Amino acid sequence: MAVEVIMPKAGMAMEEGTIVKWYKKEGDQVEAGEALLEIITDKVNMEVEAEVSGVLLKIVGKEGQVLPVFTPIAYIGKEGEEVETETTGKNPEQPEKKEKEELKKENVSVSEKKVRATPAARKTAKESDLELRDIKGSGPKGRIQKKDVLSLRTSVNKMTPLAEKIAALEGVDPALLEGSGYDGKITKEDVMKQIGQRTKEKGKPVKGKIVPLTPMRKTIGKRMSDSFFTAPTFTLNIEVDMRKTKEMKNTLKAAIEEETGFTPTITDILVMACAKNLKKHPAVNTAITEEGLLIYDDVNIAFAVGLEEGLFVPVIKNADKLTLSEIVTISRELVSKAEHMSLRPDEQEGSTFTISNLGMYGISHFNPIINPPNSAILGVGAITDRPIVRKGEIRINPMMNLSMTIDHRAIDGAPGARFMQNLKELLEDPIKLLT
Amino acid sequence: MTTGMNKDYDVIVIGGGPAGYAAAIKASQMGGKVALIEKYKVGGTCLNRGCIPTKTYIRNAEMIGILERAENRGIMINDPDFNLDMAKIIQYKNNVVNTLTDGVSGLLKSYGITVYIGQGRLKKDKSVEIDGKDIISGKAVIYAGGSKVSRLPIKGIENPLIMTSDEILDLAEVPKYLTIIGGGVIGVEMAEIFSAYGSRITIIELCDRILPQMDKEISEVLTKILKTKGIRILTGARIDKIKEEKRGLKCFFSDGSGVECDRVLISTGRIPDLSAVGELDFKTDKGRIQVDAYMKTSIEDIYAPGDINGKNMLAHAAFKMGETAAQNAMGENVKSNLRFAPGCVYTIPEIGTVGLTEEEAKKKYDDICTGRFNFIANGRALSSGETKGFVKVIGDRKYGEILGVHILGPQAAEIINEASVLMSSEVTLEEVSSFIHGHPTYSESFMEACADALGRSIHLPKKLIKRS
Ligand SMILES: Cc1cc2nc3c(=O)[nH]c(=O)nc-3n(C[C@H](O)[C@H](O)[C@H](O)COP(=O)(O)OP(=O)(O)OC[C@H]3O[C@@H](n4cnc5c(N)ncnc54)[C@H](O)[C@@H]3O)c2cc1C
Repeated sequence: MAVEVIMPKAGMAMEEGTIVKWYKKEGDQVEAGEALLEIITDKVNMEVEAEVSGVLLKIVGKEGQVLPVFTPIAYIGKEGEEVETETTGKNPEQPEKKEKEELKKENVSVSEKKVRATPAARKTAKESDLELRDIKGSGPKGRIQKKDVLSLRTSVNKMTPLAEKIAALEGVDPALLEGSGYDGKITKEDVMKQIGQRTKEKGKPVKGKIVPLTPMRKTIGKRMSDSFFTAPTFTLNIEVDMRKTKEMKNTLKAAIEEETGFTPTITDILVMACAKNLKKHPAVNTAITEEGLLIYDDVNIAFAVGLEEGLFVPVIKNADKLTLSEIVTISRELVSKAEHMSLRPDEQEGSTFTISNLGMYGISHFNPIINPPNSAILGVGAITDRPIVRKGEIRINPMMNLSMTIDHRAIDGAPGARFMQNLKELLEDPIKLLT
Repeated sequence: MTTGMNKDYDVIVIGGGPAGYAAAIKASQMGGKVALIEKYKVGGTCLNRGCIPTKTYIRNAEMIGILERAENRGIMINDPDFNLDMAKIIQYKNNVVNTLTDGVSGLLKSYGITVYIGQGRLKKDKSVEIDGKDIISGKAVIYAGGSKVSRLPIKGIENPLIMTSDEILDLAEVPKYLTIIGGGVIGVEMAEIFSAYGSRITIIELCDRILPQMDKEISEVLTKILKTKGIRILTGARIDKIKEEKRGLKCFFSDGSGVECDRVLISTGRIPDLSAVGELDFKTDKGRIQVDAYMKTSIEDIYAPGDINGKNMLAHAAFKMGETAAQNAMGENVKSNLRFAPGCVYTIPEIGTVGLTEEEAKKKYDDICTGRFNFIANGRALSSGETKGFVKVIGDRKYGEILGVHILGPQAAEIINEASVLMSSEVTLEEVSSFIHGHPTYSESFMEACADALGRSIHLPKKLIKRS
């Protein structure tokens, strides 16, 4: 039959106890004398041990619960045995008798063994070759508990000097450590494990695998964070009706294909439009340098090419002086070189302005980060058919968002806004590109 | 010897080298019934062809050095000429080897271990075939087959004038010119021995320094010492071809130039001897049988301690691994920790190292400190005229942990054991420098180097700049 574990009466005055922590859980095999749980009375913390060996069948007293003495808190029995728990609220049976028994037991233990110690404490002390007499008990009436033995065990010469030093420096309580060295000696490894656990508990690392950064990733990372953390930026957004630009692209398609072998894209037209527009707005075509604001004569447009291997930003030099066909040819060449990892350094240098188009991914708008030493970068969103109002009527036109991030050290809001306004005009009426 | 009998052992050990015989004795101490199979002679490489014969010869080299320097100290030898009786030298060495191998045989016998002399071959179900005839089986097998010389694919390497460490130890005639290919531990020890015996030595090393695994300063200072003895050292050099010519051998570099000599020693490393693998399919890595810290292989109940797993190809590491394998084969659950296994090189002066090199320590720890004490400032060393070399200690500044100790100097192989013991016990730098060392002793230098790492060596001049 299952044996009850009761809330013990640990002293004449004790009437109730609080369950602090269960060391064992239901289903665990327990040995007689093994600590099952920790309770707290109005005076002390103490461990409650199993009186018999067996399986901890059921735990009825929950952590934090305050229970009168002699209340059953768990049952120990044979594996698979049914437990008839008493319905709560029922008075614990014959407390007086048990109390007497308990007292008798305590008296016996005092007279026979002199030193008060729990069986678990005795066992541990014996294993660790420690004399019970040397141990100060923290239990009721100075009864020695297992944890008293453990903490003495660690303090008695059972740590390597290095482990001791690290534990002291890092504030690790040796009593928490299990020694893995010779004869249970605590080593550096044990202390480091505890420190590792402590940091783990603070924030468990999320699983994943580390891919070493390629030199290119590192460069991108460095350039981008330099840019992000040095330039005070703001972003201007504008919506552009691309109906006419698209029409123009379609009209020119055949001719350009014949001439260059490539199909023109919206990006090509954007390069052209930006180049023309930058010529009119030199304030945007600038760089902050040590000596001052550099206003470029040339218009060299970089465009971002995102590949598996990383981000390339080849440069179309003097884009303002190129025809659309020339832009198409040069940009296709640069992209192809990027794909073959054969871009020369000079083909990636000297930009005065950058365009980054993420429209092909359906991105509506985004905040690009400036490509130094440029002062501005244009982010291009997807062209989508959207209802717009024209002359009081709703029409469905292909619309596109442009976002320009600007280094405020070089360019103020108004000139930036004027650039965007004119760019919009150029794209909405691309015949103006001819001027 | 029993024949044709199928016996059931608790543990069958293949290989009677340091790993194998230590494993056999340990398993027997733990109550196991043990058989050991050895194809040649117990004692393995270490006793028969390795540590012991080379150290016997190194002692000869030391004595020759002492004779040569006697006059400096005012000990005048009337007829300063001496010559070597190689037959006697070899005999002396063989006597030493036999005394020790007989000793090992005696130990095995005293434990009632059955020794089979024959070629072992593993079969399924933990049984082992001996010389293709007898089969014995056991509950566990400890495969300690050790290692053998590796021969690089150099053209012309089959020439009988080209030796390995096996043959050179029985060489009856000292070569006038000896080229040593491979400047590792065996190469430099042989250089010392044969240089003392009178050979003109050239060491050719592929890496940029001899003893490339060791702390850089050790390599550098040793290089200088060997050079003063007239030993030629060519580093970053690769031999492609060896040809026999009229006047002897010629070793060719890739650019066509070459080195002429009478004999060549190949000391380019050792590879596991897998002759007993038989029909089993072990997980291997570059020909080494893979084991975990418990010496377990990928096949259940088969353990592989020693050189055969390539973890640390030294005899004392083999002893430790052999014992661990035996303990686990007998049901325990223990690991071999080889972190503090010292490495010794018996040059003159000798080398002892343990733990991390400075380069390794820099990579692993944020803030290291180093201490150094040169033997020239050590009383015992000066009295003995053994002033070359130094002790270098590397520590972790934060916790005072000793990370590495590197000694080049007199008795380095002995002093290093102190360092190893202290490091295993996790004694900190502060403590070592407070321990009393006998005076005058060489090992005081170790204590002083530890103190120097903390900037408080008593026997070094005051540090002008405080170490930050
Ligand atoms: C020239 C030289 C100098 C050295 N000096 C030192 C030194 O100073 N200090 C040091 O620590 N180490 C030294 N070593 C290294 C040391 O010898 C080895 O690390 C050590 O011997 C390894 O022990 P082991 O038991 O693993 O292998 P081994 O000693 O190689 O023993 C393996 C044994 O297994 C036997 N065997 C192999 N296959 C079979 C089979 N199929 N059937 C039956 N038997 C088999 C072999 O015959 C051999 O006896 C030196 C080595 C050499 C070559």
